[in-house]
This record gives sequence, C-alpha cells and structure tokens, in this order.
Amino acid sequence: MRAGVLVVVASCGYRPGSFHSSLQPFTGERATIGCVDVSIDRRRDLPNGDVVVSFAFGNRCDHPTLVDLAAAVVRGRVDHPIASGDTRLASSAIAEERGWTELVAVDPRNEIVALRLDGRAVGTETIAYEGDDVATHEVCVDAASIVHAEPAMWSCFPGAERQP
Amino acid sequence: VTARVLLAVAIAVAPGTASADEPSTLLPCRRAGVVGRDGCAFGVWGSNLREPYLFVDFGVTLRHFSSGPASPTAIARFGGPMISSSSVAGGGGDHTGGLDGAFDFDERVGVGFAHGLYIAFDLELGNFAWRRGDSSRDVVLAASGAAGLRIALGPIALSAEIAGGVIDSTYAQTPSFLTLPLVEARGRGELWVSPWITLGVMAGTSILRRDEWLLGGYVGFHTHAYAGDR
Repeated sequence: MRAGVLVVVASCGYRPGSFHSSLQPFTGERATIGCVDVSIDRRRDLPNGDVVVSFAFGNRCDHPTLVDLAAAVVRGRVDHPIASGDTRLASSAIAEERGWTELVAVDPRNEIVALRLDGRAVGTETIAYEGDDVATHEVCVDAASIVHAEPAMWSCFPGAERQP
Repeated sequence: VTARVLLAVAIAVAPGTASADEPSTLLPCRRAGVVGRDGCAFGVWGSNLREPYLFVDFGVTLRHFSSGPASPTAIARFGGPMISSSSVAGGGGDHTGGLDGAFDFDERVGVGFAHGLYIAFDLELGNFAWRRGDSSRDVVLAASGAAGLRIALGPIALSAEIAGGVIDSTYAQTPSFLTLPLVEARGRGELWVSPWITLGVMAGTSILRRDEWLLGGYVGFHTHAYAGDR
C-alpha cells in the first residue's frame, strides 16, 4: 500500500529549482549543476568520529542523468595538528592545502557507485566518511564532483557534534 | 453495472496492492540512515533504471463483434471448439435486435526495448455493460500478446501494434465457451500527465473478421520517466 501511495505522491515529478519533494527533504547548501539540483548537509558525526554528509538531489531534466556519489570529493580540516607519528593521516594530507584531508566514504559493502537518476526523479543518500579518530573541524564537499563537472562548487560546513 | 465494473477493477488491482505491502525497495531508507548502517542500502533511487522498462495499463475496452456467437460463418471459418448455433438461444448470428459487443475491463503489462519497440500482454474480462438478452454475450475473456512500436511527440506518445491471441465468450443460457482466434491491428495515443503516468486511448480492428473493432481508454503506469523516450 505504501508503494502505491508513493507512486501517486511521486507522480508529479521533481520541479526544477524547487528543492522540494514530498518524498524527501532538501536541507543544507544548495547547488545546481547541469540537470541536477543537489542539497548537501552535514549531520552529527558518528560516535567513532566519522563525518556524516547527506545528499538530496533532484533531476531537473526529463531524461536520466548521472549521479556519482562515489566520485564526491569531501575534504575535512582537522582541529588538531597532524601528529608527527601519525603516518596514516600525513600520507593522506593534501600538501598544498595545509590541514585538509580528503575523506574516504565508509562503504563496507562496496555499494556506493555511479547511478543514473531518472528524469524528474529525486533521491537521497547519507554517507559516512572516515574521520580518522581526529575531530574534524570543518568539512567541504564539491557538489560538482558528483556529476563529474568542473569547476568545483564547494559547500562547507562547520564542525558538528558527535552522536552519543 | 457500475458496481460490477468497480468490483472487477478492485480485483484486478488487488495483486499489485498486496505485493506493495511487502518490504519495498522503492522506499527510501528510513530516517535518512547512513549507507551501510541501520539496514540502509545505497542506490534505491536509481534502482528503476537498472531494471527493464515496464508499463502497466488499466482501462476499459469496448468491443464490437462482426457476427453472432456461433454463426455458420464463424464456424466455417474457424472451426471448433465452439458451441453449435442451435445450442444458443437466439444465436446463429441473428443479432438484428442490436449490436453484438462487449464492454471489458483490460489489464495490460508490457516491456519496452530500445528504439520504441515493445511487447505487451493483454487480459480482458467482461462483459460489464451491454445489451442483456438471450443472445448477448455474458462473459467475455480475451488474452493476447502484442508487439509494437512507439514514437514520442512532445507530451504525446503514439504507437502501432499487432496483437494475437484468443477471445472466449459465453452466453446467458449457455455456459459453454465460444473460442475464436484474435488477430488485431491497434493504434494507441497516450498523453503524459506526469513522468510516470499516461492517459491513453486505443482503437483497433480485427484482421480476421470484417466489421469487428474495438475502442478503449486506459491509465498507464511506467517504471521509467517518459518511457525513456526523452
């Protein structure tokens, strides 16, 4: 029955630029890249320090379009200086952007892949990124990266509390 | 008559409703859970495009038959199994009192392929509203497979198809089924009222029997937006 109701509710399709759907919320920073309207938000970090980012997107076009969350570029700036003995963090640091590290999605089942979003359809995902046990002070997400577009469109978020 | 039609629609829709109560992969992850946690799988929003394009139509079809239920012509042309003309009160093709037809409920399931090609399976159940008399058709069942080509014209999709199958009829005073082959040429026009829903009309004619035609209207549900035509 729920699916039937869902079909009726969803039948109107996503309206370009509305950042609104009765199926899901669009919260956070908004961006439009090609056929995709995307809103990106940071949620409370997981208890282990992993950063949690939610993506909500709608297809502005009538035809399917690419949404590649596996290609999303997410960077975090830690509020502790890199410890001299922490080779893991040091190796992943981006040299030219002091203090920023590229965060890797937590994907134990290797299921985060590029998919096509149907015309006028919406979708949402919430993905955890490895926090390396270091409190991540600030997180930036390149919205353009999820549709393989350039130049980068950074959405940045301040530090978030950890979930208990 | 209306109640019977509504009852038929309810019965026809029931299987889909029942299956929808099962855990559905179409539903987004509850409370926006994190992928890989909370039982949340990735990519529900893209699952429909990983599957073949399907469509389901629900509608009504008005059929007009060219001759009586067991006319000598029909028997001579198509043979058995069918009832004899003498077993049908008022039969024998003598339908001068009105049109011989049926008003059916139609369920249709189809699969789309590249370049607008599609195949579909139709199931019709009637007769819900027609002249009620000894010689009128009581129950009409039709099953057919169709292959066709669809083209998109803005908000409209037009298609042409060839269908083949069988059509069975019974009569008020005779429980036996009259079975006839069905080969029809049909044309369809559909208006997209949303990316996944169409309203359509259909007209067709029998290739086997003269003066036999059908008209229909339906609502269609599609698993790919605009049938993937845009």
